Amino acid sequence: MSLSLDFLSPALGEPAPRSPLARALARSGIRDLSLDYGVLDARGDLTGHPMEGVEVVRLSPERSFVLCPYRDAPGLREWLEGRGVAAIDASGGYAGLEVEGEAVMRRLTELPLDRCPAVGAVGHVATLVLRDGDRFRLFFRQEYADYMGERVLDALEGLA
Amino acid sequence: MKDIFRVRRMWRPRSELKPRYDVVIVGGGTHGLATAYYLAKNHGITNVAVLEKSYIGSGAAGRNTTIIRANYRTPEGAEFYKKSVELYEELGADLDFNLLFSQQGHLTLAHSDRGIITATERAEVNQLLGIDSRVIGRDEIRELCPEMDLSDDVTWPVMAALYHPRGGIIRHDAVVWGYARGVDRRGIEIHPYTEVTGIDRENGRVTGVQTNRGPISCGTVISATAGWSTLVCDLADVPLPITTHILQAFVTEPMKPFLDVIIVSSQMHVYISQTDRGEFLIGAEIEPYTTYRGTSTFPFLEFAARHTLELFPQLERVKVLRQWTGLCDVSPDYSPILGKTEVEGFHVSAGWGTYGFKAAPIVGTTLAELVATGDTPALIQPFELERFYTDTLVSEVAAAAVSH
Amino acid sequence: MRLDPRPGERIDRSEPIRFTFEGKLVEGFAGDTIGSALYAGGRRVFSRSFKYHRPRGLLCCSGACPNCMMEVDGVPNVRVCVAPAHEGAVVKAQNVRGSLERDLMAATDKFGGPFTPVGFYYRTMIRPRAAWPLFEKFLRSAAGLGTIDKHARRTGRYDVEHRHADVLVIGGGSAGLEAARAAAASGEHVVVVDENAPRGDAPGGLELLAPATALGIYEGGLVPVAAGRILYKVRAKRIVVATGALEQPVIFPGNDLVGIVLPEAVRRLVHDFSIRPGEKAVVLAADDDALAIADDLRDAGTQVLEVVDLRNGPHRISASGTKGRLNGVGVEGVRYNCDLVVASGGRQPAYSLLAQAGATVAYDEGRGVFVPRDLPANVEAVGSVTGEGTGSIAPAKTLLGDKTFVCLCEDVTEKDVKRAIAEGFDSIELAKRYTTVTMGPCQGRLCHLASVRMYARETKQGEDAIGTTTARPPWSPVELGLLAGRPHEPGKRTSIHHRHKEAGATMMWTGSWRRPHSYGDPAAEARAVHESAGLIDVSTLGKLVVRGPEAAVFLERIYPNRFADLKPGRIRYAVLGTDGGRIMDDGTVARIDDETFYVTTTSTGAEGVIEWFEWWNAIWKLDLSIVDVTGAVAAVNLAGPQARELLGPLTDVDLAPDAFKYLDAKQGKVAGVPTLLLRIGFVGELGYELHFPSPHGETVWDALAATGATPFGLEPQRILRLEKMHVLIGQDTDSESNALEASMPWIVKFEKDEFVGKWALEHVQERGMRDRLVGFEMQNGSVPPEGGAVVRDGRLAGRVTSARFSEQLGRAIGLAWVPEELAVEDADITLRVSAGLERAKVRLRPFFDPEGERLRS
Repeated sequence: MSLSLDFLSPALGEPAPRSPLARALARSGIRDLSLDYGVLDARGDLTGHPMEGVEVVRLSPERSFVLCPYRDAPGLREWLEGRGVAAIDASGGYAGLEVEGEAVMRRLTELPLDRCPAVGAVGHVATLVLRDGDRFRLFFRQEYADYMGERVLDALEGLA
Repeated sequence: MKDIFRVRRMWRPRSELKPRYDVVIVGGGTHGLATAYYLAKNHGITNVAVLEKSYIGSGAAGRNTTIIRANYRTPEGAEFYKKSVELYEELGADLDFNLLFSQQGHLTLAHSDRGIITATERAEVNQLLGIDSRVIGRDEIRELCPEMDLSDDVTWPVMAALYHPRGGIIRHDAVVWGYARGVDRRGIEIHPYTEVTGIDRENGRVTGVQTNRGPISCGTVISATAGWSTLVCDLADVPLPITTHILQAFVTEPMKPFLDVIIVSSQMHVYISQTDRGEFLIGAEIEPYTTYRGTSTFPFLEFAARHTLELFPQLERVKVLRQWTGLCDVSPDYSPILGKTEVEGFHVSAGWGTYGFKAAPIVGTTLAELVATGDTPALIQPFELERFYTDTLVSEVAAAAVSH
Repeated sequence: MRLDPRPGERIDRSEPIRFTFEGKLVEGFAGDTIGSALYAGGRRVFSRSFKYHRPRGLLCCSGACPNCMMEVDGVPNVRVCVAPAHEGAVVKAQNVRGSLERDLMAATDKFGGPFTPVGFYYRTMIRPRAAWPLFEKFLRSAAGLGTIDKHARRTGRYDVEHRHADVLVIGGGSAGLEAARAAAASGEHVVVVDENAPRGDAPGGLELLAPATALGIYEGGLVPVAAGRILYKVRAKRIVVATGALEQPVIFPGNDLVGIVLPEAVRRLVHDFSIRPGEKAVVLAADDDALAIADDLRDAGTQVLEVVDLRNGPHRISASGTKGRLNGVGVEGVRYNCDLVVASGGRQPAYSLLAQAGATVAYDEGRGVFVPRDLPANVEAVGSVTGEGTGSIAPAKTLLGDKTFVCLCEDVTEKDVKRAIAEGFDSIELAKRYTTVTMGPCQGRLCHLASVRMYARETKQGEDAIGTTTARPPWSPVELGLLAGRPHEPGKRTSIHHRHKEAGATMMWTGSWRRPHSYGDPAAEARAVHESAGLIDVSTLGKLVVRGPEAAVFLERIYPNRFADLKPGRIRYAVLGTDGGRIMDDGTVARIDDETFYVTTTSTGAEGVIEWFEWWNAIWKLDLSIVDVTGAVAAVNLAGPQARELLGPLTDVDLAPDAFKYLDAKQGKVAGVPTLLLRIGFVGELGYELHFPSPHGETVWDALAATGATPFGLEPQRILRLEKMHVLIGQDTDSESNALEASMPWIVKFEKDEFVGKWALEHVQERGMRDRLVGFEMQNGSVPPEGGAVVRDGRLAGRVTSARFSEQLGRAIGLAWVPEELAVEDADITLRVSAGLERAKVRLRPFFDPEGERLRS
């Protein structure tokens, strides 16, 4: 049997995946997005691809992050590859959470909040920041989940 | 004692440049002045000019964090710096100038197994060469520095340390001034605000230098210009495998004695000492990017402050007074480039990274000997520029651990 | 002392505040500073000076000078003139032995003065050398101002807050506010920073940070602003500096006596705190604003004896006092008995922030002050910081006197400066370092101009020729706690981290990762791997997908080993070298398909390897992508003779020895999770490295642990890999090691046309081996330290890089660098153990299972 990159796709697993933020955010009331979104690390021209329910964040002319519903990542990846876009399922690599209000964001990042989406240091960790009104979605490498959970909760505590 | 009351000039006012000197030294820092001093003192060579583009001690000599130590990793390095420490111990008396050498002891902290291995490597090399240096555990660390946070409840718990009792701090400017006075009294000329703009050669031999105050002819030129080495050596078409980086430091307001030992943590990228004036002198690693621009950065302050407080939470309310940067010329193996170059009569003292100040007296003695005898002293043969052609590098970089 | 209520006063008389000073009760009102309350209570001496311990009193009353530094609630060096008074505060004098009024250390002033001229310590205590530590101890204890509580812990929290604005105005005086309003009127978002607490409401439409201090203008226009326990990091498109001008002291004999103040002190004492500053006063001033202070004084009931306009030519001025307190001043031979002298030598633009930002500073001959020029882009200056409306003169004629202070922070007198010049410290930068003038807590605010002027006069040059010293940030002293912010440090944890914690693992750092050292018994864990099966979390390995039509070409060029001929489904060990032929990292490369490779790196090397790959491909421009999947993939190694039977029931992959061979890669499900299975064996037993998506980390770990496999940590792993002589890059190698001398010649394929570092390795081949990494076996049971020395003829001949006692083998083994001639099987080497010497035999083949039969079983 030939090999593939299926081992990168958590959505292909039969058991339920676990969020890296589950412990850090337990009982905090902060929304954990880790298992809501699949993330594809894509290289190629994504313009002209009509993708509903999918957000494309361009990191460079070549490279984009594609956010989609968690379970859809393997399918979307296949679909993109079929259209000549090299895509890697990075869903397992990112944790995500949502915070509300500029105040807490100002305590965490020097990114200009009126220019999202953006990638930059949030609490010293490289983070993708998406903004919808007063809500901010943050995606960062899952190995920082405990740290980031603690850091965000601490920032909120400082504002309380 | 009578010297206290008598107002005596430290050095003569700058004179006119003579058309010819036997030796021209580029750079009026510790290395340049020390070389001049030992040329006169040990070899009677006094037709020498020290050219400095700004005021004496304006470069690395006046910006370093004044740590003197011999506990290096390579035998070549350790032996060399051992001599340097010995010379420093006698230097105040030799120059008749109190350099406020505070041999309070030097602790390099290990926060990981890898850190302990590096400390052990150094201790072993040091002990074989008769350098007082050993790996100590937490109990002994606590005795030496009861103020430090040695709990496990921190990001990087302290596991052990390399202890070097004779390591110390010194008043760096006093080293510059002491040497300058000694140089001047032996008849050598110091020319501040004199910039070298060209190095003349004929048939592969140095014949003189061009300066902003006119040309000088000479048979020997020594470049001792730290962060600017590559630029000065370019004037002689001698390429150096060196990159220039900035190193930053800051001092706090003076406080009553609190810390009586020098603390270095490579893993936390911070080192801390308290001067005889009471200021905490805190520095970090060199910045990873290369530049000649000595601008201080704010992230450095934040980073160094955060890590300082991890070790010494008591300093939370102590205030930072001023920060500065210095240029460091970093060689591929973190060892210096010292002695002859392919241009006859053109010698260099370069590639010191963050270790230059510690070496001033031994650089001075060995370079002076090289000039006087024409032969490279054995002690500095491992550091010749030639090693990059023969692939005999002297690695002061332990693979994973960072410098200092 | 307190005046009747006045309009505009900042104190709230309905709210008394009580605190203690040196144990005695002090009463003030809300709105008072500690300094104003003390002053209202009659206190005049606030501190003792740095060197001579002379009594010092309020001078600037605006937080600039060192004269009122005290310890407040255990915090040293607090400028009490601006520190708000609060109920229950515990205030103490600092840098005194005894009390402020009777300081034993004041002997240094009376008797030490003549013996301690500038730089005296450089000239004394040189011999005997043996006595220096004693002298030093005395010097150290005499130095320093405040005392640090050795038992203090971190207090409260400090936070950083980022701000973005169109315009940042630094200084909320009239010029600053005018600029701010104009910008706001045109729709810009404006932030104003001001050092004083606002009187009343914040100006409309502006965001006001106050009381707050801008610390500097750093690269990229970053302006950090200290505001109590919050550090604002402000970035604005435009920075307007309106920091105004600084009143300059007048330099005359006795100018440091308690009772000699700057006009601003009077303004604040009278208007803000409704305090009569003194009974009888003389005003000496060089500008109209300062002269007008006479009216404020009269208003507060102070008798103004004389107002001297210093612009009418230099005057002979000299003050006298008793016990450090002013009792009179002489001006041109006329003596006035008074307890207050308000003296101002004019105002100097506060240009430091501009200079830090890159502006040049030039002497303005007409005004007699230094002014900023050539402002950098996006930085503007308004108001008196530009020099507008400022001016200063050298108002006092030279009078000989010991106690003419140029620098109060450092107790530097005019005589000291003259002496420094006479000794040859004739550039201002040299003199600054020698006399330490301008290097104290006031950052040169009150002494820079005076010292430059003195230099100009003594060296008979113009002030412009003397120039200024470099303006170094921060502009105001700032607490380490505020700079440090929150104490969190980013650390990486694997998706299985909590399972290790729950199992009682001791954790350790590997680079920025936390990893289990062991679960309590390293030897038992190692034994389990040899006898049954062990389980280790290796998720920290760096993992890359290199993919594209030219991926194989890329790997072929970047590694010394061959990869173009690697078949899909096969794995090869990979050592990465620098262009200088040094070993950089190691790992494995598995070929997924023609165009896809899965590359692992060491745990600490991942970032470096990715950068290295990207750097080279920026040059080669091969058609491929490099994707870091380190965090996306969890990895677990199941190893031991029972690995196959334990894994079998959990997976759909055929594990039969002939179906799944050593160095094969297979894919399938493990515990229902899509997994890449790599048959490799770092620990020397039959083993499967399982790579699967991180969100299933705990699921797979739990399933494997449930089979009875024993979790093992890094420490047992080190023993096991050492038995196999597997090299740990970074521990067994250093930055100079190459693959040939590290005894891995088989990974270097010189027959390849090119690969990174080829020339350097060819050079090594040509010059011959100098040192070699070999195994060794101790002749007795002792374990040498890692990092220990290999000794020959009493000299260092090599290093021990790894050493452990192997229970499996029943002896101490290790790896060491030795000279080439000793790199032969059975050679005797001598190692340093606990400062003694021990013998060992060189071993060139793995200690355990040298033929690799167990790996391949």
